Amino acid sequence: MGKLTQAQREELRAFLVRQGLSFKPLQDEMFDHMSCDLEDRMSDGSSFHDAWHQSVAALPDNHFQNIQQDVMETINKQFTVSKGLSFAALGLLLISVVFKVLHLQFSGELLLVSFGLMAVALLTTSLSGISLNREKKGTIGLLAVVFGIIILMAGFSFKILHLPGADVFVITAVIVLIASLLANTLYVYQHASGKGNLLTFLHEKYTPGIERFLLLLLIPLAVYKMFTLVTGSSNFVGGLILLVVIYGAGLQLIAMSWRIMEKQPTKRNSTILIATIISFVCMTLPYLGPLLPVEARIAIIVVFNITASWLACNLDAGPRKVVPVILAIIVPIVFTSWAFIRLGFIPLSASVFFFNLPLLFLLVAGVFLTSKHGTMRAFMLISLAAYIFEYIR
Amino acid sequence: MSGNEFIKGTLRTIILKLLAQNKQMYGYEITQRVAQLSKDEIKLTYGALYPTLYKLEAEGLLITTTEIVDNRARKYYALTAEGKKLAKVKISELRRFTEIISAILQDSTKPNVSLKLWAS
Repeated sequence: MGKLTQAQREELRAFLVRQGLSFKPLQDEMFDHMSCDLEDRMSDGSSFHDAWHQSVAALPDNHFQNIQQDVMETINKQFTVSKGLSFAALGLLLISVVFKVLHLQFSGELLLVSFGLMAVALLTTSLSGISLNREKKGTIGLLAVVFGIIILMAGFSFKILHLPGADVFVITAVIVLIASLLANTLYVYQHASGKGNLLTFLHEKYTPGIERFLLLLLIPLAVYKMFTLVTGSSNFVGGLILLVVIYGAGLQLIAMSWRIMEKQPTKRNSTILIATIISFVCMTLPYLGPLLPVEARIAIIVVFNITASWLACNLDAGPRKVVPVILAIIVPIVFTSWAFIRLGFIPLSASVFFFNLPLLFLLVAGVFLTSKHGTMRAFMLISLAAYIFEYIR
Repeated sequence: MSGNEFIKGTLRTIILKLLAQNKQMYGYEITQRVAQLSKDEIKLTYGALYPTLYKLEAEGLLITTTEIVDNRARKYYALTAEGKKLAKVKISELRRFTEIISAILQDSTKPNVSLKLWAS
């Protein structure tokens, strides 16, 4: 059987991207299908050129776009309890912010209920995924990550309510999250076929929903931002939304890194492994807040930003990589400069060069310009949220 | 054979039947098996096959796994327990239906099975 060369594979991948196939799982499936078709034709004696023309000639106009539309409709039509809970959580989050803006009571309580719903949605999705995929491995790994996220939410909820024990929750969550993410990363690295790994399987299945959820979180974030710009005051409740976006998008980046390591043997190497580990450790540690000296947190954030930007750009397989590369250079420069300002190496007056509206718009644009670059989009979401978090201080 | 209108109504059952006979199959394999069994009379298009596979998966009838084959990700489909049960029912129903249609096409005076059940 004739096999496609690397150059021919790249030509095929580029063709599918040009055809508008942006949903990665479907793009991978069409890639495999067309590769099999081309290789079969080449085995029958056709050249790649002839096989290509026979294969492509059989396709009607906009064929892949229509398939993608059908598939996305099927996925989006699925109404699940988890989806309902997620939308309810988002709605409450928005209402909570509006209440805060209007100085109404119960803003904090609404945020807590929203957190509770998010936790329940996460748990029901995971349990239903475990129940439907009993033959897959990684149940404990999945539950450990979910457990860690829920304890972290509980810790911050305790902080809102000024209850004792908040720090214990947060410390436990950070330990559980780092340990479980490390175990999952090493598992993916060692068992790289991707066959039967529950965590990456469920992540791939729910990726469109996760991306939608993270993008929708930008709405309460925008409301909060406008509020703080007008009033000049910030508050812990508003800041928490940013922390949710940062960690949600951060986990999205890590999970994408796992999936790419599973599917692309060239990306399964020790450099990517180390970058992934550094990214999730540095992404999680700042949640310890005042338990870590502020200088340490600033250094950790900078290390995360530099490592994650390299990781996201390196793993990116989208078309026209110019924009991702530019963003992967600019964003770490901004955050490193921010760190130097906070640590006193650069005068405070230089802040205006790194925290201004044009840069904010650039980051917002970056989120939308990277719509076809999954890992870079996750990184841009983290960076945008972190930028806003600092900008409004 | 120009049988697209017939294939549309039976594709789900064809997929369920093939997967009932095989532990797991990937998309291209399904199209090749259908072409082989139909002696190249039926050629499934991407547009017909994949949306149907995703719908069956969304309904909880199929489960998927991804494996790396020849340096590319290959998605395999297999029946869930529910899918296996439904496959039996649908195959049986389609068999009865084709018998009825055959009877009608043979211009028999009366089919020996009732369409009422089918329509219910």
